[in-house]
Amino acid sequence: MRIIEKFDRWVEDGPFTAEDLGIYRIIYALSVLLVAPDITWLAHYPDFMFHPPPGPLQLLSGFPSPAVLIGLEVLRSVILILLGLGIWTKQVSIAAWLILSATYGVTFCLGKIDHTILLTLPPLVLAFAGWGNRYSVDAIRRSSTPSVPPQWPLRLLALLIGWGFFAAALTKALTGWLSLSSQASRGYFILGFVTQGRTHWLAQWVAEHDVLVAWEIVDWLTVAFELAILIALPWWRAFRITLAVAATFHLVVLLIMNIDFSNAVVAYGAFVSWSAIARRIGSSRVGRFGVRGLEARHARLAGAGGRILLVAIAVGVGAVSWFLMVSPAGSISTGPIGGHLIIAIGAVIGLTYLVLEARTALVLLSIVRRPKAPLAPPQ
Amino acid sequence: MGKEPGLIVRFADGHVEPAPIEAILPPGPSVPFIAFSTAYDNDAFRTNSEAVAWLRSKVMARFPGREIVGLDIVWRKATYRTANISMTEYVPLRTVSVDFGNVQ
Repeated sequence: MRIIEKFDRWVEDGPFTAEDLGIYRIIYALSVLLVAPDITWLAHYPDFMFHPPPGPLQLLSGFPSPAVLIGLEVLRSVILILLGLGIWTKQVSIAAWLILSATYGVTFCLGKIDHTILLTLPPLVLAFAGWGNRYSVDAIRRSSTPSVPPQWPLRLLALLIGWGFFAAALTKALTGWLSLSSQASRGYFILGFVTQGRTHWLAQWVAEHDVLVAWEIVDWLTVAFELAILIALPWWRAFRITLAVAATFHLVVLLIMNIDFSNAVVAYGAFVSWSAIARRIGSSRVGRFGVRGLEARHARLAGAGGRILLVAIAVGVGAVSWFLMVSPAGSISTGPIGGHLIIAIGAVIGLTYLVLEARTALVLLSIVRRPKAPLAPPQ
Repeated sequence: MGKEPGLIVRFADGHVEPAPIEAILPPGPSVPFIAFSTAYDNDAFRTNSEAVAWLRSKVMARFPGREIVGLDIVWRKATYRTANISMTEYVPLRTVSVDFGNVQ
């Protein structure tokens, strides 16, 4: 077999089903509604502070007005709700990528660029994976059984995530992060603790137990795990293990350094077997109770009642996420609640996956090590 | 290690008072400090009437009813040895003085 054919086969090889992608589309839309930032504060900044990064934002001469910024936020919420419902999914997915790029992009015009690109990528890539073919209004309209989704978009998304981490690892390695005479992660921790009020969760305890050797190990582990994601790319199982480690790592970073990497965790969700999790929940006692409840109300939910309920849920989700985003309580910032919740759930899923993989590895190991039974003597 | 601005407000009666930078700038998630540094970390902004007027309006809002004549931006290098802020070492770099007298 020629190398190009092997590559094609590898690109199209994957375990992801239409159900996995359909559930992920809904989870993605909900998650982004929870983590997408409020951008209206930018209107308070003068235009001489407007420094757009290279790209289409340079067409602007200054920060948009409050009305435009609110309009962008409303549009973003509407698009994400349409995405969650699976209405015109492919077009809406591309619109979601555009609006997320625009709303994150304007926040970068003050000179600080955050690592939020991983969050914007899934809708652009998975628009071509048919993630609207299950659990969507589009699927109800078509009423045909979806075929196996193409796997290349998942490979592409994995490559983009792996490349992002590889670039981060390379930058760290080339700028002295691994020098034994300094501890870069400790430097970031202290800077955040002293100047940015990152003193929550375990930060105070870590500040009181300042062990340089531990920080040096953290430096090396960070670079190792960032490199591992791209290295693991050829094998889905290895790639998922690195993402599970990453999800756990992000919880540790949140607890110690108070840095929110929920954007990345949302992107990792594309590689979770959501249909397997749904089946497990469905077969549990709570799941069976829920399924019975839905079946009992099937007649009412199938008609106009179902549509009204769906619209009510969509409006409710949009309202709650907006409420959290704008922090109406003033001094209490509710914006990070969604992000922190996503990181915690991501770590639980990641740790569970690692435990299951470890158990499988132990079982395989015990089979390999089991002494072979002596052959029976010939009769 | 990092470069930090400190703001000293000058009043007409000769009194001076420090002002925390967070109180001067509009709210925003962790970017105001970077935005301020980018905009005011060189003398060029003093010839930018929009930049000076904006700074003046923010200082005036912080001290309503008081006659303010100017502002000193004291840049200093900060070395954060530990998470204990009292252990931070500061080395003054330079001071940029802005007079608000002629700003409309």
